[in-house]
Amino acid sequence: MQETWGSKGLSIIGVTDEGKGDTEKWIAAKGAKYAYGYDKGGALARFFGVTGIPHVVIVDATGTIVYAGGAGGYSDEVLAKATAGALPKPLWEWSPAAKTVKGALLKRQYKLALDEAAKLSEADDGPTIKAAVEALVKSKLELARSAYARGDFLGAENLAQTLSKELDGLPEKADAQKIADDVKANAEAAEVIKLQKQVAKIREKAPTKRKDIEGALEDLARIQKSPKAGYAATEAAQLVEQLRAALKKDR
Amino acid sequence: MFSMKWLAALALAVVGLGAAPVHAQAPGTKLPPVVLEGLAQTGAKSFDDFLGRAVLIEFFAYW
Repeated sequence: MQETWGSKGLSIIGVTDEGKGDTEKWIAAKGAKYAYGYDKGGALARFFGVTGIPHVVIVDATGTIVYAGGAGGYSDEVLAKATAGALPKPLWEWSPAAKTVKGALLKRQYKLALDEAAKLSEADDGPTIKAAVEALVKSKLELARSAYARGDFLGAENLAQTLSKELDGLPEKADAQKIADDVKANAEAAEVIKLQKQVAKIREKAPTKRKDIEGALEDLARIQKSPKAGYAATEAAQLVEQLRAALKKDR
Repeated sequence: MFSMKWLAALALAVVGLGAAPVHAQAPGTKLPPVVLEGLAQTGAKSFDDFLGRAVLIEFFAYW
């Protein structure tokens, strides 16, 4: 998979919260070659609600989750979506001359990254790196636009506000600002955002006791019934499904 | 390389394959800051080095 998708922008990493000694022995015995790292204390596994392994999470180039579930549950379409606008070469494979571009990218200073990329020669992959950074900016804007288009006003607002800062000095900043302005001007957005925040709060609480889950389900049902819920109803329905599955498992 | 042999080994270690995550983060959610220790078999020094890449994270266990 790395061979097919690696040059299209996909990196694969194994994550475990097990001990280093046993894991390394196992990796060596199996001859596994792909990257891996330790999720000490299992914080990442808890964030993703991992209850069984292998469990796969796929994030796109903008750091947005596009898939979470079983190892065989995603398609090439998901991978194509995830790699849209992704850097064809990971940062650590860039020429040492691109160090300043890398530094700017890590600080999310896209104008500086583009300016520095423009100074790089062809031998140092300058044009490729510049094109990749431009594609990354484009895909981030596209993500905010598509969030707005599907009525995910909270997502669109958060993305647009963050992007507006990250794109300082670039013409695309105006595009990000326009998305944020569109959210503000949308008559339905305020109520949807209010309800989306309520759904997010329930999700963050991550209730585990039956009584708490039942309470959360009641709150979510109320949100779903709201005539002005819009995309918040979709998010509530997703969470309801997960909480019901948890209740079923608890029986 | 993510070989079939590797996948098969992981499949043998399956616990509850296909079980729905209790509070899985839905697609569309932003990834929080990720801290991974002891990154191996990669040039990445931290998860931040994956910036701008699509990443497939596979949770596994040695047993």
